[in-house]
Amino acid sequence: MRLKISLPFVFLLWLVTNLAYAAVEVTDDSGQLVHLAKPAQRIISLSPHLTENLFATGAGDLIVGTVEYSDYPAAAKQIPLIGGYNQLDIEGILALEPDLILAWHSGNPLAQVERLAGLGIPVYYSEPRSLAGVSHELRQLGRLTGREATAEQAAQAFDAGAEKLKKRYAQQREVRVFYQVWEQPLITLNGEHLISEGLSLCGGVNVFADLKQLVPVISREAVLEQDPEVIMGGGIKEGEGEKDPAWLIHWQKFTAMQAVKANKLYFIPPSLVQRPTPRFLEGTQIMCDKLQQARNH
Amino acid sequence: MPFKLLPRLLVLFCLSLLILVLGLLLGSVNLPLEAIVSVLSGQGAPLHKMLILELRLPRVLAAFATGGLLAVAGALMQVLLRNPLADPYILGLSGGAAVAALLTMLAGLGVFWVSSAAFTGALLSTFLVFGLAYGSGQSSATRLLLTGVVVASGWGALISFILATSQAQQLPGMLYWLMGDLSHAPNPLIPWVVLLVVLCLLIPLGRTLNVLARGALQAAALGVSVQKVELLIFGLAALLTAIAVTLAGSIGFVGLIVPHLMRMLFGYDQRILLPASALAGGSLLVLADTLARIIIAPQQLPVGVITAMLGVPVFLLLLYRSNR
Amino acid sequence: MMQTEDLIMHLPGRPKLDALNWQIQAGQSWGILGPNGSGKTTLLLTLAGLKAPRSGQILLAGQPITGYKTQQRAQKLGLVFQQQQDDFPATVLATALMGRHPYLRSWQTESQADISLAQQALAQMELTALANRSIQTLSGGERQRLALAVLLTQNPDLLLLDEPTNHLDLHHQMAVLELIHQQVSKGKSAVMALHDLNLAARFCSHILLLYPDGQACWGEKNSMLQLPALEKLYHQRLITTQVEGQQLFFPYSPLV
Repeated sequence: MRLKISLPFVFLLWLVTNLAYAAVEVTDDSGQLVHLAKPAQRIISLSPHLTENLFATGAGDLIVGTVEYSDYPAAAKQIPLIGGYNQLDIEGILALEPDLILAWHSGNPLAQVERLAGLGIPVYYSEPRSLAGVSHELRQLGRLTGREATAEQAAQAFDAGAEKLKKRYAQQREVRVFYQVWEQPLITLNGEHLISEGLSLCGGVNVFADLKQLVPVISREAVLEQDPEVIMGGGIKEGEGEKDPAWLIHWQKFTAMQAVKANKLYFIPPSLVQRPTPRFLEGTQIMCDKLQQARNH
Repeated sequence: MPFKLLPRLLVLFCLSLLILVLGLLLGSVNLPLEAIVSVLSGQGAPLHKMLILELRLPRVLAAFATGGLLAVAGALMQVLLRNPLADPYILGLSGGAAVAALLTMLAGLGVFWVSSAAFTGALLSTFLVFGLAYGSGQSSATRLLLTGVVVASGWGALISFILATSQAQQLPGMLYWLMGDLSHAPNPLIPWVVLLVVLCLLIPLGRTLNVLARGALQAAALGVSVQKVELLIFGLAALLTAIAVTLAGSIGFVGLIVPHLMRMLFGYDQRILLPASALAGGSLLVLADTLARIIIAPQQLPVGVITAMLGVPVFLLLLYRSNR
Repeated sequence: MMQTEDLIMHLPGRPKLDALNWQIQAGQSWGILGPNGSGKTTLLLTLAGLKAPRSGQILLAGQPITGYKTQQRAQKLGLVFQQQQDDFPATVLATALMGRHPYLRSWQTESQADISLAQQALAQMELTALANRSIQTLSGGERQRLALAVLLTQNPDLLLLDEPTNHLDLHHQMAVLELIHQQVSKGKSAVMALHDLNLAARFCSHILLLYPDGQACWGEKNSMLQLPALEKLYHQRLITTQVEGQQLFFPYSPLV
């Protein structure tokens, strides 16, 4: 009797523990192999986008520490902070005894992250630069945390959303767009940037797609020369909204530009497009709507 | 006595005009000379009109004014401190302006506020240094210099603090401001008026400045009211620098290099040196800004980078030659 | 020419100083003698109105010196400092021309007359050949002569000189002092701080002794240049002799 009950129970136990303790091997965005003896349980996220993506894969509860400005979803604001993305509190990180650190390759100070790696903590470097990169990251995070199923769902939803936008706007007329990242100095982005890819989903063409630098500082007269049909951009300040976008004022005096003449200057909430996360599709949707508005104008 | 150098000054003047025209011609969009002529005579294509009247002309004029202001302020500081290595920022003026400007950027305020804050910060720093240096009654060039240098390094620490604690997307704006950038220079009318008025005021004072450079006591023995004159040139130099900083952030080397170069070409008489410095400083900055606009067009460099890249080798060459 | 009334210099850390009631007349050349730190330079600066006294006042041509505008004062008295500042490369001629500063209004530039005055002064100081050189290239003696040339261009009634023979070779020492003597005989007055007793004995009509303890006494040369007073002044045994009618002093050293 006892034996009968305990045999399947032990099997079940074996299965569960074996699953739970299955070693994980994942290649990160810097090409390094990340090896975990078991899925991560205590994670430090060194970038707001990584925090957001972990929540999207259903692993938000595993984060023990994160950096400033990790403000989405609301639950992320409750996580203890271990500094800013560019200023890590190494001791604070060690005190949290993490078993995985998610680092932002182009944002975090690499020397500091490497010191953490040197102390034996596995580090996964993230650098999603494309739409495919976002769903890839969701799946990778799923494997690292053992939450593959939720992660797969999230990734598929993201891919499907992108595909839907692409289909809807594939037949639409192309619109030449100048995307303004920052007003002073005047900063735009090139064709390799995620926002530029989002724009092309909507049938928009980034006029500065060919520049070599990812986010170059450019001259105003180059924009005048390009004479884009639409000018888009985020404000200087969050929450400034469309009511008083200070950056628009600087374009108003160039009345010979077609975008200014036809009043096709649009505000895109920067928080929706600046992070490579599922929310990026919301921002892309807004960009698409604005472009459609410009077409129908 | 200074008149025999006037032809040389005239040559410099013509050269400055030429450089101004060059600044109008060159940019990420190349314009033919006819385009400028037709725009200035009230015609021309709308794009050309916009480029020249809305963008390049104000910018070139702002660049010239900034360079002129900095060079004159530098020449004045060198006399005030009896130190040929002084520059307009040596007394911590740009540091005060930078801290105030960065704080407004941190608060997310617009260009107008950044400029106003920069001006206020510069004047605040001036009063601070002046109060500390002259507060005890007795003062000397060395005491003033020391006070200024220490206050400047205090500002430097605050600047680093602000940079270290600010958000990623605010950093480029801050760094461009610190390196000096003319792309957002406000209307250059006031700076031009101030530059011209101050020059008219200074040229009759030039002989006094010559005497003052021989030392405070010697100048007093030769009938200079040293304290009054020092106060005046301190105030004027501070005003000029504050305006320059407001226009374009902190642009290095113009205020140090140009008075030096002009001393080599025109000798040391301040009555010639000051107008020559204004012309040469203006031209240098227009030239540097034009380069900043075209070197990797349509991308842009901060003009401060170019002035330093031009300035450092020239300065080292001068130093090397003067040592031989 | 100049008169001091109960004048006590401002010398920090020296509470006991004699008050000076001193008269400098036209045609007199005064030598100020005293050991290092006795206040010779401070006295000259105070007389020139560049340093406020602790108490008392100075009358220049009958008027309190504090009542003069700096420019007027510089027309009446000039001062040659021990050291000259030359951070900037002005030419020798331009520097000599600075002596005309007290006479020019701000809008005025130096006239041809001013330039010839400066050139004359340079010639008197044997600097004509260096007129277009930068002052930064001059030797110590040349600088000292240039400083005197500035004073000659300034042409004040009262010449104050702080060790005018500093850095000068023997020939130029004589040339400079003879020139000052010549100026004085034209009705000007000179007050010079000197270290060399023999030059003082040769070129001064009057002497002021500044003792290290704050005592001061002054009067005609012959009454002042007495061995006991001078030995007390310098804390040094002296010997004296007469050669060709000139009184000479030497420090006595028992080692030789």
